Amino acid sequence: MTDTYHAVIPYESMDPLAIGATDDESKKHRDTLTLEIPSANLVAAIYPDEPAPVGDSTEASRRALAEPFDGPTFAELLAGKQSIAVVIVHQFRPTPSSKLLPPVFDAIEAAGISDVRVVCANGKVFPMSEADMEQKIGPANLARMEANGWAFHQNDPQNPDAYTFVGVSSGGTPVWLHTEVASSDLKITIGQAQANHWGAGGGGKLILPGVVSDATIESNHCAFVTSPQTHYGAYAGPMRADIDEVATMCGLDCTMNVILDTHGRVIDCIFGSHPEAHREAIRRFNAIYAYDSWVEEQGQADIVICGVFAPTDHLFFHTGWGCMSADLVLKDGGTIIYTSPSPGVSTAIGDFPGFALMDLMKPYMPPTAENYQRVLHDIHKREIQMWAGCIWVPIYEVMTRKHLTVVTLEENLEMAADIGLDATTSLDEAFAAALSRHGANAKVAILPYARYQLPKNAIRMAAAEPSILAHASL
Amino acid sequence: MSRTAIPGFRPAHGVADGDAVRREIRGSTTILEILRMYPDGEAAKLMSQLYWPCAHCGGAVREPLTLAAQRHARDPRAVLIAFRALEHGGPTDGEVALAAERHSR
Repeated sequence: MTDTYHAVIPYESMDPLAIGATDDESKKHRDTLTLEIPSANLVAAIYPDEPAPVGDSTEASRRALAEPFDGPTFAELLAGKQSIAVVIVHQFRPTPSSKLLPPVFDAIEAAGISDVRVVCANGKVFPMSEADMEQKIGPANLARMEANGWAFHQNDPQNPDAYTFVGVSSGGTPVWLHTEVASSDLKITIGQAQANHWGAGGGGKLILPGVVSDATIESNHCAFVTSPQTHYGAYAGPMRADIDEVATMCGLDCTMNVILDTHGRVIDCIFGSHPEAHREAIRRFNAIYAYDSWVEEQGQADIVICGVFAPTDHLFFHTGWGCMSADLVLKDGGTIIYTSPSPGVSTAIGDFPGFALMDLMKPYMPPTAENYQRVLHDIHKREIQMWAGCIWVPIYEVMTRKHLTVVTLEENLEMAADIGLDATTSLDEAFAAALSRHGANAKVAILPYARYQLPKNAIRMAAAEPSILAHASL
Repeated sequence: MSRTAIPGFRPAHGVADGDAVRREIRGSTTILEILRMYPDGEAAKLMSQLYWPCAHCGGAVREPLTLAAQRHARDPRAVLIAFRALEHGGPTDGEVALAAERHSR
């Protein structure tokens, strides 16, 4: 009898607004898939050791404001200021803004500042509906804004009248900042810190792409998304470096950064000067979710199985980021099995299927090196909108070198087939097919929280690291 | 209840329940207006068939259909015909193909 490993793979998809807005676990649907893997094939199953959640997110926010990682306390920063912009994340991010805002508002009121605006960092994502706002900001916070006469704005990327020109970054990105943010004496962002393919999320990213114009977003994304130096863990990579430089140019003073565990709960909250506080948040994130790679000792895997967990989304477009993480430990020609229910999303303007936005890659299918050149040409010609291309293009690029099989809900199969994606409802079937492709001795790895997970040797926190300079001199 | 007392408070324009929905699609009709005309997703599906991300884009609030066509290097007339055909159960495969065809800029 063959010795087997019983793998448990998270197979979750929840409304990010629900994750951020409620502590009621009964409102959160969680599911798993299981798979028996011959132990001889398994090279790694990476389950992170997560700290306990903070419990009270609001108190964690209050404590962070009073005990900054770097720079003055929030109260000290507010002293003498006439106006403030509080920049928050949009409806497709799970940051529990409604719970983090009360201490921020307390401090602003205590400082006697009346010229206040909350600005949603939509980037080029669809604006929040009123129902979205009620959940994201919370009725109590909205009532407080109403009573104080504080303003609320959303990014309006194609309205040229809404922006102020700031300058051009060293990477060549022309920067138009939302005037409501540009005109504020003090600027704070509140978001989720996590490593990702673009270097990291949170912090200055709420400035770019959050509250800048269409031209600024597209310029940054067109220039840097396809760089080989833009990858999981590349905080010092060209894309994240440009984002942080632009945030500095825009006068971002400070950031509040939460780390959410794989259940969507706050496990850390770090406040302080830009960019130091966010950088620290990413260090702490990496200390939990980055893993020692097995590749040096055992070689790259033939098959990587990725799970999807709560703080992601209803669309594969958002859950599928882990393809780029798995890419780092999977050999070319290997198989990524991505389990993602992707039930789709209901919005104020209609319902969208679970593979919405992945259809943008259809004109370039099948994924080949030659067709990837067509993608690059169309990015150059600005025929691909890179606010969306920043996600599907890297996934596509991985697919030019590796086979992707998505394990998903039945309702997604037709659309997946229409796009040209390999999809099935059965993890067992997907695994059997992968084993038949790669042989009985295939090396198998499991990244159950792939969107969070990255090998430690991919981390690039400082631009001056010799490995980057060596690569640049090739 | 709308929080109209909050300065600047403006949800996605045109999505409130009481907002009027036009029925006729013109070149000046915005992407958001078209999405609202077809709440069952027919317009969003057509955008998907044209490989447009417009149904998810913050620019949809302001973007007229003809400008969207130009932005995506499509023939504005063919695009207009395809979207107008939604009213009668269309468009045909041929109309979709014409609207999806890219033109050099």
